[in-house]
Amino acid sequence: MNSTDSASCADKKKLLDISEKMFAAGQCSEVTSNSTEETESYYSDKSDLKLLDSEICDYDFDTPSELRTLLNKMWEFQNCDHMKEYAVAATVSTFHHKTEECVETGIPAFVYQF
Amino acid sequence: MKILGISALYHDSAAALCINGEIIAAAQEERFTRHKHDPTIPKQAIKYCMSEGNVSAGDLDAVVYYDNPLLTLDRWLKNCASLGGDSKKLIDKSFDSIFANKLWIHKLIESAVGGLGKHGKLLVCEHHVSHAASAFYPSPFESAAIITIDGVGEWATTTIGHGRDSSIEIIKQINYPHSLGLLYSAFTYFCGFKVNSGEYKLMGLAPYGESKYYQRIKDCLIDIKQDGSYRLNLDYFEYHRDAVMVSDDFGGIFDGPRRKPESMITRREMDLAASIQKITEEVISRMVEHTRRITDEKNLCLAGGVALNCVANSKILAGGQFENIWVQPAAGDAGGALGAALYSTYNTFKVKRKASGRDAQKGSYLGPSFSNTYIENFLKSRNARYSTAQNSADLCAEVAKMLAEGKVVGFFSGRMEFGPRALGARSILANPMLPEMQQKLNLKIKFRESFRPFAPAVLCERADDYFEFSGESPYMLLTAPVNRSLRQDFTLADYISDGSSDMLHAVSQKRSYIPAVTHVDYSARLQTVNKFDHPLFHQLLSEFEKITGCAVLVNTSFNVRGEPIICTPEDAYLCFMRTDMDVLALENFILLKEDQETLSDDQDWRQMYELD
Repeated sequence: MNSTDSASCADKKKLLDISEKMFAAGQCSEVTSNSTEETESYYSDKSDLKLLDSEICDYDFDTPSELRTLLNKMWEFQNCDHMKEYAVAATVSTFHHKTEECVETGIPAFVYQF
Repeated sequence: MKILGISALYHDSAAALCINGEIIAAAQEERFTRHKHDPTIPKQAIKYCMSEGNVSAGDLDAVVYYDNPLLTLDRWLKNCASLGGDSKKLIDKSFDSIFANKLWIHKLIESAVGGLGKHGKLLVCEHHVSHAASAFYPSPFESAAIITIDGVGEWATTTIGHGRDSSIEIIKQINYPHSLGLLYSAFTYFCGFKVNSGEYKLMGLAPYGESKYYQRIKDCLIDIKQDGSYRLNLDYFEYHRDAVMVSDDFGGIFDGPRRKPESMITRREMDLAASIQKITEEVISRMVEHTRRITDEKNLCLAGGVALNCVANSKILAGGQFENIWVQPAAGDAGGALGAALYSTYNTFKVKRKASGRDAQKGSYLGPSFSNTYIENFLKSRNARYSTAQNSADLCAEVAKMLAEGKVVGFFSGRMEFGPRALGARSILANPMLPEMQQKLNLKIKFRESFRPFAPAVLCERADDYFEFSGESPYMLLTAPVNRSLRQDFTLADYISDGSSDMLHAVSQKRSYIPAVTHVDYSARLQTVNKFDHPLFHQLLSEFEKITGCAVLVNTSFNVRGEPIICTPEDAYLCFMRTDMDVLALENFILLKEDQETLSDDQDWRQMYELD
């Protein structure tokens, strides 16, 4: 196992640990919840979603601190402070895997990538 | 204002260059790399677009990516949090894609383009806003309702919006994991076809079946509200936690496990295809009705991969909720590059949009073209034998004559199409009246056995002589029934029963005056050809009509199964030489197969392309 592989394993483990913790706390459970709702519509009003403050924006960071700031600002805007738990792990994972060229992900063309 | 739009890292990466809102060039990377659905940074498409527009990286005002990586990360992490310890497979599946590629998109694109233009920073546009922009801005409408439906982009899977002049407002949204696109893809997968590729096969299979699973799908898989909003029962799906689409329980409700790819298609798959098509049409129909109500518009624009479902599009048109509909020809992710560039043009840089009454897509002939000089030099380098037409009239007369004789012609003319359909620039053409033509094309040229008929290209002004259709369908995104007077008696049940099914026999039966393009339900996936967008193709159809009395040609994409549609004269020549195509028309040059020497240095090309 080379150093990148071991960094990947550690980074994935960290993300998994946080996810378990979030799950235990009931955070984000609505995302994959199967509960049916007594509602007339499943549409959300876009104006209520408040995911980011603009539909088009600059995307730029060079340092870990800049990326962490971007993530934290997004989650503050969304009123999702609990997600900040992921900020450091996501930033570390990103910089551990900084590349000059597009990486082969191993996902076949015929499997949905998202 | 020179804006470069880019889509990449999901599937079907592409680049598009717009100058002051005019679409200068757009192309999909797969055409250059010859790797179908290529998701990588579209370096060659970028290079082509900039060369076509004669711009350098320093000339660009901005570079725009069609998706916001922060929102994608947000959705992915919240998906992981919702699964807890069960998120391991999801993390393993997507970790590299997210942390090594998507989050570094600004650096990957800067490196590929050679800079980020005068703006200096990469602009990122929300995925469904990019789709909406690709549908509305090139449309002929000053204002229109907009619907986008795809698998997923960041959070959104479906949006309803409103376009007015230069602005677009997204009004309603349905979020991941509830997705009509992923539901359709789940059935594509379950029926043994490939996700991202086989959806159009499933749509083509539907007319063979009966919608006997319709109620079961509604009872078990999807709750559809009156306004077309919906919610999936996630117990039956796996895509939100694994690399497969459906859970084992899925087979439990549909009479057995997933069909093995390439195995025989049974009555069950036909019925599943018919059922999911009916569900899709029901959702879209209700959504369209709701959209009409909340926007009070008479025009509708569509994009997102689901908008390639031409059967559903035709139902929208027939439903009459909207007077006019316009569908982005590159409705999938490739078109996101174009939408991102246009959205930035009109919103970031405040260029004023003016709709002209005709669409601004330029027939979707937005890719590379090649001069006669280039082609002749190439043909000489291959010692090819050819004749030269002196002008377009001679070329069309000669090619039309050979088509009338039953020859199959590879037709390479002008700029390559942007979008998944061949529209006469990179097409294989044939005589639709010959009963054996469908089988010949399938077995000797495309190297597939298909239950689907080919698509017709028809002179725009003669379309209603052949089809129950008025108006235009220049991008092959609508279907229409063949006119009753041209039909012949045909009973599908004679070939398809519960005990056995012989689709190939069924589809090879003569059902109309133009059997090669008539489906088993008498429908046809129509391209109307007008004089403005592709004058040469129009002229060829006119010549064919003069000789045969028929203003329709078979038009299928110039490729073999699994291969991206050809891009260059070199690609065209190789495809021509490797198949039983009779004639190749490369701009003004005509090659007959019988005159050519066999390729001596060819590789085992059948191993080159993964079957789609």
